[in-house]
Amino acid sequence: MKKRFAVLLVFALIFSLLVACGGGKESSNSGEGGGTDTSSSSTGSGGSGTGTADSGSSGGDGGKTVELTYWDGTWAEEITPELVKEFEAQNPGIKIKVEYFPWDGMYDKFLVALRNDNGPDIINMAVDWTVPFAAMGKLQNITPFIEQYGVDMNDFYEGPLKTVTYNGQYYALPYRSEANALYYNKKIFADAGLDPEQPPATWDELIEFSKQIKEKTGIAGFGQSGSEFGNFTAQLYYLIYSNGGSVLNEDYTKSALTSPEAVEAAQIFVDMYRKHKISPDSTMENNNTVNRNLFASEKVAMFISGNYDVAAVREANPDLDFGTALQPALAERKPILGGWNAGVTNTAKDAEAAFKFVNFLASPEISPRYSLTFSSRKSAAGHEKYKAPEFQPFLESLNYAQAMPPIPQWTQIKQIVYNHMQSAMIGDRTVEQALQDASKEIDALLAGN
Amino acid sequence: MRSKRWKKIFTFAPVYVFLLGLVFFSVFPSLWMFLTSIKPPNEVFTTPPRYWAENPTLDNYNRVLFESRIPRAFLNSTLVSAATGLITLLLALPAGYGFARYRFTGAGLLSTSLLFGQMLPAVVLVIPLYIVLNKLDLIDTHAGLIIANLSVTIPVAVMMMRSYIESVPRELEEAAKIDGVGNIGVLVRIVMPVSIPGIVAVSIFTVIHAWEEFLYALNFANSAAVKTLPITLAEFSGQFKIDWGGMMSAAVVISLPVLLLFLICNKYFVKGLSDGAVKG
Amino acid sequence: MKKWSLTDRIGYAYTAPALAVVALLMAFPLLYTFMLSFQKNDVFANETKFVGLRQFARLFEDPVFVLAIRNTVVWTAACVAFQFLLGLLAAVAINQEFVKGKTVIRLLIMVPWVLPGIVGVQTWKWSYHPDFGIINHALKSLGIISHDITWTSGSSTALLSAIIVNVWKMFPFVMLMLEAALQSVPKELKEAAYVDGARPLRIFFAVTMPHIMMTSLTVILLLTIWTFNAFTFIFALTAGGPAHKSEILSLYIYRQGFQNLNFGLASAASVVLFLLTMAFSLVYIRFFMRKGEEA
Repeated sequence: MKKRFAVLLVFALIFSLLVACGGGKESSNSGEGGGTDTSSSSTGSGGSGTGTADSGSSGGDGGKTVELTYWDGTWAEEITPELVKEFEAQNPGIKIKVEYFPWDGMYDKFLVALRNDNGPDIINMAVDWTVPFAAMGKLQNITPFIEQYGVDMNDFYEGPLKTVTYNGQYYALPYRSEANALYYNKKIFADAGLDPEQPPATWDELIEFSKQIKEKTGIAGFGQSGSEFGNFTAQLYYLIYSNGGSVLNEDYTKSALTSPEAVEAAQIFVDMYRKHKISPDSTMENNNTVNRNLFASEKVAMFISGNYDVAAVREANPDLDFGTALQPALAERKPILGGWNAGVTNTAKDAEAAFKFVNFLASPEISPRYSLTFSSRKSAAGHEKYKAPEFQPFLESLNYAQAMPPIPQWTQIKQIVYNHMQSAMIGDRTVEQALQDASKEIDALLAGN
Repeated sequence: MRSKRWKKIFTFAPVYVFLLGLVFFSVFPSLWMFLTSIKPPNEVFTTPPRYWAENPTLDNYNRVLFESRIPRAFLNSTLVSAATGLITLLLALPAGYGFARYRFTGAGLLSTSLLFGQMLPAVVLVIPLYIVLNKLDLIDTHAGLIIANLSVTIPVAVMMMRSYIESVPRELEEAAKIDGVGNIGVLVRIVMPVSIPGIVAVSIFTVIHAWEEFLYALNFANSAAVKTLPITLAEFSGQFKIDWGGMMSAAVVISLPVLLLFLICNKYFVKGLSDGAVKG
Repeated sequence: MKKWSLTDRIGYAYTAPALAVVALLMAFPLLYTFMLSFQKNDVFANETKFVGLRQFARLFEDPVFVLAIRNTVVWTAACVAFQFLLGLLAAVAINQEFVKGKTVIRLLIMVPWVLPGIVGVQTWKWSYHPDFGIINHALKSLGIISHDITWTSGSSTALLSAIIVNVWKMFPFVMLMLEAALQSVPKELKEAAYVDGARPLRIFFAVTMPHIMMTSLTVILLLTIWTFNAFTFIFALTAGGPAHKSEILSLYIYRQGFQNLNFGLASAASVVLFLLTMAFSLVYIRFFMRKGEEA
């Protein structure tokens, strides 16, 4: 009898909880300002959740408040709430509700949501995602707004602009841009008989120095990324472009990976792991974050990354004596451009209000604060944050940074190259063969098969 | 006398050694997890790895328990898991009984077809399920997550319940029927009490599955008001920096409740077991 | 019109609710996937064309797909075999009357199953790492190996490393299921056999096994279906690498769908996976489980 009573009790409890909590949509609050009033007239969810008095908004909104959702990354949680508060203060009729998502699975989740027209109003996107999303028709063409609000497009670096353009129209604004540079361990250099103030200037020097380091200290010279496809292709493409080659041909219709320059560069990459053995044994399972950890624990003498790792390295090992420098050159230096853009989705309730927020994030004043690395605005290059000496090589890299072809299939192409080159890395195929196979697949993809 | 003692040691020792080995195998990752959760950031990645923390800290737990979204996620997870467990049981118990005791037309095909949903990987089902839930306006709701979980838990629960009930001797039910007890009565008063271990096992399975479910929760929940623990745990890994200390602490926090649940259920489990043995 | 017997009606009454819920939830996804496998979807042009069986033809022309099927079979066979064996041994061991502290032992052994999947997998992945992980470190300290093993990225060890983690996670489940079944074996039967002079091993096969047959067969079926479709282990540990050496079908499907955005091809591969699983299940149920019932 007692047992049955207990079961009924649990049942009742669950049932009442279900009723009380209802749907998550209604009961969520807006903004991060805690306790701000909202009368959300355009959310369509019945506006019952927050149940507070009117907003008393001033300004030419006609007294209506718009609530927009913004999907951001979890790493921005410390800065975004502050920025949202400032924006809302400057724009009384607009409220922004932010949801944070982890990097893991972010692209997949955004993709599924957008495909079902169930995404947010404003969305944060890595540089490689903007053009595909635009091509799928899921982003708003904001060119009219840009003209209307007189946004100075010349203030953006050229590279980032390419990543938000599709069919000659703008679909997002860049706010964060970055390019990689070299980290090197001064102490290990000294131990190996190298001058700690003379990091390698050419790629040949990098290989030579690494060999010397391995000989004298037993430590691996350079951290290669064998696993994550983004990291892998970033390193590989740097070599290819810096050697005068490219991934695709001029009009982005065919692969250019079988050119002598590309093959040579790819061979250098594979040789570093297989022939010269200057990267750790664990290379094939390392992504760049692991490389950073290896660098911080002095298991690797050099690695290449963005300036966001400076703080992380310091935190992991405060006593580490390291320096930063431009990536060593081959024929030239062509670092790959990375970064993030903010855009308005095709399902945005109020495209203009959403654009205002995007414009805010990409402005010269706000973008340096919001960006973990650098602002996409030329005028912000002299910002306080960027004065530290370790940051200079990264800043300088930005001037050489090369934007990747802004085509929708770019991520898939990276995948294809990664899949084939991996077999070259483990010795199953020669570099030429791998690149030829990859090229066949890329050509088929671009031809629409 | 002597040989009996030796015989005992030869039977006891290997069993204990084996069990001890199993325990170690089962537990060492969690042990490692716990040891990491009390390390400050600069001790997490050392080569060679260090077992003990030099400066153990409870900072990570502080952050996880008070400064993160874990508490709310905990509530969400509890709600979704409990509801999934309850509904699954309510539906699976009668269904398992029906399949076990009644040879009705098409039973074989129907019970096999229950499994069809399991034969497609979750990554494939995500998209159509998203479409379905979207049409019903259940995206980003607790109900949506519960329903998505049911598609996995019900088939398994039915199968498991069925096999348990089949191993229960029919005499008890037949005796009751002769005494004039109706069908439902037989189910509730005779079959249920005897299949307690089966019920407990099925419930544990269901709740644990819902508790740790990641893929559907990732795609079907958007707001912090609905997100469950596994998703919130993943949020400790940023784009370039993984907060291992925080993540491991969160992992400990997430794992303890289910362990506790199991400990509590264990009593019923054991009780049910010994009852079964006595009845023989 | 066939007349429904009383048995039929009662049987349907009991099973209908569960069946209805599952049918409602699974009907559309299954149909959707089947339909999509006959189509070619260009995500960017937002066009969908009906192409019949062309996607299936493309699948079998892809050496990686064929490799994935092979890997999946190896993966499933190895995982299920070891999960079941280890779980069975564990259940038998802990079921011995002389074992003290059963509750504690059982609780500790259950930990892998109870631990949320992504947590366990991440911890293992890290433990496997040649530089940071404790596995290589411990093995070297004990003198078992002299050189670091690249568990998750080695051509020969990648799949194995994932198998170990899957076995680790699921064997407690087997133990749980079988322990309950073992308890249902009447003690008198065992004692009678012992008195008759039968050795323990013989008792196990002749007396115990028949009683746990149904549960064992059910468990094996479930394990097989789950393992066949398992995704997280391989995805998080090896990502199918290196160079597809540990890529199983579910991962192939994911790549085609979410990375190549080729949902038609992914659906076709899913259909193949589905048919394989279904064929196995039908054969298994008909031959093994019916036999088991008769036993």
